[in-house]
Amino acid sequence: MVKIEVFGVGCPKCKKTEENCKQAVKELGIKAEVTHVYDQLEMLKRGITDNPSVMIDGKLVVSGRVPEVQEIKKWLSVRK
Amino acid sequence: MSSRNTALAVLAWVLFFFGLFTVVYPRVAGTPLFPVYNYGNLSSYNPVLIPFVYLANYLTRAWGAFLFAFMLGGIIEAFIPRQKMTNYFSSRSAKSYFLAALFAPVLTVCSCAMIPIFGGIIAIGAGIGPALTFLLMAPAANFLAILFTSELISPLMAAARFGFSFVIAILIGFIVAKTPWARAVEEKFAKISAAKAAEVVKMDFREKSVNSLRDAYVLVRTILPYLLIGVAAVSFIDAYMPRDVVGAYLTGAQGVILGAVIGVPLYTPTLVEVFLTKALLNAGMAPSAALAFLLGGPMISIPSMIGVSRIIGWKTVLTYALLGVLWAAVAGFIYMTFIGGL
Repeated sequence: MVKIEVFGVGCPKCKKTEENCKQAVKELGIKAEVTHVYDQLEMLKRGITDNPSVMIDGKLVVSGRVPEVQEIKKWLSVRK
Repeated sequence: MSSRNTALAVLAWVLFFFGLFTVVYPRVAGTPLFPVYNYGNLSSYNPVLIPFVYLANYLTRAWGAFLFAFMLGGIIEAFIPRQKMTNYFSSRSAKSYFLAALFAPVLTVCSCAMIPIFGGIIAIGAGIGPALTFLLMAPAANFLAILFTSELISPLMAAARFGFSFVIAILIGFIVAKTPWARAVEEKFAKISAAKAAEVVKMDFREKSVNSLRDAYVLVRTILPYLLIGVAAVSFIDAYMPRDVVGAYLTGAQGVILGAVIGVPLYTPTLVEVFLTKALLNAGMAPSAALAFLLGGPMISIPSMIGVSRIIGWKTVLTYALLGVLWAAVAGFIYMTFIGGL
């Protein structure tokens, strides 16, 4: 079970990031849990300093922009 | 796919430069590039029509500025390396305050990154002072706000808005950082280090240009609906606000203090504050009160207060909010004494 966390405050870019993550998981057909972290304090404690950001299994993969579905798929398949 | 991207990249820059041209042209030539729709006496219209004639006037007058502003916003989002820039102010020195204020207008076009960057500035070692300077400066003096203040009110007011925001943001950051409760917050976050992405994706100029177009579109979709509704609401103030009430309350010393205070609970969507100020100036508000209003409201915005309160606590939030209103009023008084007009 891969754990994907999207960090955002509900802005359009953050929503798009979450959508892209879900799309990537669907296309790969893997078991993954996509969660959205809204809490600012939690973000800071995890070292997130820009939005939107994505962590896969606790490792930061992208920060400050919306990742493409292709990119996320690549990150996910490297981890498997 | 690749030729489509090239076309989009070219389109992004064509739109940007065309917007820039329409903003610069009237300044040089003295007349607008395209005809502007004027409505004459607003209160003589049927009330149902008022928002439409009002919007028609602004859209014909300022569409070039909108185009330029949104494209510039997209370009900043796509091209400015934010994390690299925040690294420049990672020390506890006066330089960090200065750079935080200087870079703030280009660091966050999209408000979704505002509070993470704020937290990041504390975490990378600059402390709470420069972080607050950034937080106050970014909404009060972003290029959208300054451009529209210049276009709709006057270049002098735009310069005053930028200059005073700059000084006030640095002052407040400096003062708040000295309070014991702010120091306690700093200590709590001193051991956090910023997470780094394992692989940094390098994008070429074309990809960034395409992204700038996409970011510009996101900005339009986020800002424009609220702006249109806000300006439509402002049209009624411009049409029906009694001149003698505005003249009695929003002038002189009382006007400056009211101006600094009312902006905070009024919380207007991005840019609407400029249109509202313009309408109130038409109704007789003093320029000094207008400046206090343009400084107080945007700097001390309630959503960002709620957002950062999770990180720095309400005591520190209230300290900076009170100082913000106070300094906005002081700036109004300075403007009233030394400048006065528009």
